[in-house]
Amino acid sequence: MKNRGEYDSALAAEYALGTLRGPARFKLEQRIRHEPELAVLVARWQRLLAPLDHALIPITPPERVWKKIQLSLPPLARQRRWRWDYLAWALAAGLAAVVLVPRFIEQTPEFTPALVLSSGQTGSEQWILSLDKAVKHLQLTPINPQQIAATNSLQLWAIPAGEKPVSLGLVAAKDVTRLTLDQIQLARGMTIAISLEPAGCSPTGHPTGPVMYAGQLVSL
Amino acid sequence: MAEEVLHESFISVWNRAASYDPQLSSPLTWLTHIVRNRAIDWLRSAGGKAAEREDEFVDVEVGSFAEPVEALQRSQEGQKLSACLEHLPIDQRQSIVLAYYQGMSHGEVSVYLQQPLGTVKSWIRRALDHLKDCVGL
Repeated sequence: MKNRGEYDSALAAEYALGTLRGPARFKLEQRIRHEPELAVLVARWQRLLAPLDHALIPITPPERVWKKIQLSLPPLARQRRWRWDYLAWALAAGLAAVVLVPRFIEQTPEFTPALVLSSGQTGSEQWILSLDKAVKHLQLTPINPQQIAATNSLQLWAIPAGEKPVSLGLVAAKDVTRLTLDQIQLARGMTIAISLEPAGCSPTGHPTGPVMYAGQLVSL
Repeated sequence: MAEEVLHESFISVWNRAASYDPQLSSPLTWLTHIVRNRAIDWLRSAGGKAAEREDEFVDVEVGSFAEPVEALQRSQEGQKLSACLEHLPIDQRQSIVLAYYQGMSHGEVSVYLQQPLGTVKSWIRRALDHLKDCVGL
């Protein structure tokens, strides 16, 4: 007569092999959750048989499978994934870590990247717009900044859908700019744009020059 | 159908990630185990039964164990396991390979090898006993 340990080992072996089926498998899976010793036994058997997997030829599944999996995950997971995508994209878009990492460390930690402003053309220049938690302050960080003529200034605008642009202030062409948002409360769906204005700022209170960079606030 | 199994497997992985214990098994072993169980469940399900099971089984030449053995040789644990598998009588070895690679149950192995169920069960049990002593659990 086998003792309990041998019996469990045999069960664990059949489980790892895949021949333990139906209620017996279900029962063992329940036990694994509550019996650490049994879990160890199962893990040992799985490890023993694992080299058999080396004989398998890997097949890369089509991209659509991954997309479907993403959609099936809880919303939190999707959101996180989106953020990583965004980060990866921002990195790929020319975020020189050497330049930016010190900047992120220097900045007060409550600023979180919210938006990337890009030019309509294929230029490599972009701006990262970060917001503090209360959305009372914003910070603009240029990536691959371009020199502008001394007779010009860059001006930042918030454009609520269907409304007139509201000036948020002037932006340094090659440096980090911090602005206080006392003119307007930023909201989802707003377009944020940087226009090229005469030095000083737009003479009319509305953008007069071309929009250089723009992006839409999709989340806050 | 492989895509379905993969999809379900990853959902399981997501849901069970908290219970993964890195001290017990490598991530790959853990993942493989989840995928295998999903695949076995699928084979047992209506969809699996409707599929051309016999064709799938016949596709594999179980008699020639040469390829898996070659692939096994690549790692040290693999070499040990393959040496231990070599010691087994052919019937026992075939039963193990059918169960592991084809996801066959005792009953399916017995039909496939045209042997009584009790015989197949004891082959598998003895084979596992041997592997346990030979490889070292």
